[in-house]
Amino acid sequence: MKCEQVRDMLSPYIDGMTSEKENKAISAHLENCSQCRQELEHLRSFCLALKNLSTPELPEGFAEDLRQRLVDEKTILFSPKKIKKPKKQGWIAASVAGVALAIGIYASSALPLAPMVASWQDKHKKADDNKPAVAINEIINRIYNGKEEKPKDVAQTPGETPKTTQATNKGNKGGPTDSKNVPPKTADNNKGTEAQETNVSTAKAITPKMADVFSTRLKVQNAGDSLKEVVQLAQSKGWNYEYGNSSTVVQALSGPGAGGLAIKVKESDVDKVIEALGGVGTASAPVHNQAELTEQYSEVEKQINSLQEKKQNLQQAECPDQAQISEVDQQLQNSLKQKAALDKDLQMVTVSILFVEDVNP
Amino acid sequence: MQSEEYLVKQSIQGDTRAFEELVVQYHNKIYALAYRYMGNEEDAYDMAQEALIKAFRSLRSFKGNSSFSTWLYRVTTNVCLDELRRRKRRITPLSLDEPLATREGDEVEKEIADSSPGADILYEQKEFAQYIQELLNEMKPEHKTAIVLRDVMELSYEEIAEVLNCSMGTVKSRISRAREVLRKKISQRELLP
Repeated sequence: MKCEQVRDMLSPYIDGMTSEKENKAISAHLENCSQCRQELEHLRSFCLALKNLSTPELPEGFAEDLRQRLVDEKTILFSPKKIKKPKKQGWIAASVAGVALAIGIYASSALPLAPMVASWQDKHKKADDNKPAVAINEIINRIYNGKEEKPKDVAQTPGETPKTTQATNKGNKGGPTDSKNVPPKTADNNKGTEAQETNVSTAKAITPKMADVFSTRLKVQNAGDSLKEVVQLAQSKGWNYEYGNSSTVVQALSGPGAGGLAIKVKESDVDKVIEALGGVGTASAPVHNQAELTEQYSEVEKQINSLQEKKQNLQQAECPDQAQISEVDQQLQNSLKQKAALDKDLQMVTVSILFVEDVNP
Repeated sequence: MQSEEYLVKQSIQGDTRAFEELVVQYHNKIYALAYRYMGNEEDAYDMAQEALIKAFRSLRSFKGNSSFSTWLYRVTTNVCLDELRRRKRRITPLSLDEPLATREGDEVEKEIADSSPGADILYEQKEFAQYIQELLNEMKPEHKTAIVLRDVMELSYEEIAEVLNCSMGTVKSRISRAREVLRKKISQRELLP
């Protein structure tokens, strides 16, 4: 072996990374070559010097700093992601409404609407005297009359448009349109005068009832066991829970039959729930959503009103039927309970958990 | 004390305490490694923290093929080298271990004027360490990592191959070449103790 070859192998040689055959050849060469022996010694002392290099001590507070940074990192990694809504939506809606209003005003002042409306009304009246067209007539009247027209007057004469009013207003083409007086819904024509009256005069804007929901998919080994585990967890922490298919909020969001579990907590506790779920399986990043409970809410309210009325009527009867009263009362209590549950849904935040089994192929 | 496997599992679920327990025994090593790469205490502190945070973030990618410590050194090495690369893009210092091309097309080793107080002065260990560190700072990343992982951190060739994600053959030749380059520099100054 030549010196050059041996020197190339000295580095792995001192680390014991050369083969037995190589070792023998190197040893044989070193016995006869003092220069290579010296080189080997130099390399050894060099490596030893590097090994003994002093390193500054770990500064104090390293662990504390790390702890703080980990907590910060965790909140970023595991926080629920809120779906951002475009901020411009409001402006777009407002400008669309504005343009629509402008067109409305322009149309009512520029187009010869009055004769068209009159002829349409005559035709309509002949064709169907029985079907009252209160809402449409009323709107038309309002366009021509301004604010003076009282809904009650219209309601009392279904299907008939007071010709006198119309005649006097024919010339008044530029009458202001007052969109505020237009009822939000067209009256239900088949319910008779009384119903129409209440519809027209008492209809008010319904505020939408929205409940906050964070949905997450929990990857687990066994869905049944994990469900029990989460239920126990919820019990131990004192969280309210419902099975997914019985939760109104989950149904409103995913339709009936949705499985899983719904945990209802204060918004500030959502993070805690997600964190706790981490102990059961792998939770996906929660998706924020809103379930609309407006319909359910108004339905329950309507039911309560009608039951209360029924109960009152029964009580006022000459010989009140106690059995029937208590039955109605029972129904009323149920409805009130439903309403209370909905109120709770609206106040609390629901964490909807869908269990997904992690099947290994 | 919990097993490493259990702590890794808990940490993946977001348990920061489990992660702290998992890495506390490596704080010193990670800091020492970062110090050798970065060359000063302040950067070493920042990079060691950064490496551990990155490890927490990407713990899912740890498959258990290598030991956890090797994986951690790998993360630290990548974090430090990335940072050095980023800095290099801003300032390009002269590399001392890269041969200088002459007009004739030959390559000569660069030599720098010795600014040390005198070759015969025995350096204290700390000063020697500082001196070696200065030379390390000027080395190419691939040579620097080879020297640091093998001679400073005393990792085996297999572990280095895992950290650097390269073959054993490459590890062997890199270590060999890196030692040669560093020794040449030191012998030029006749400072080898």
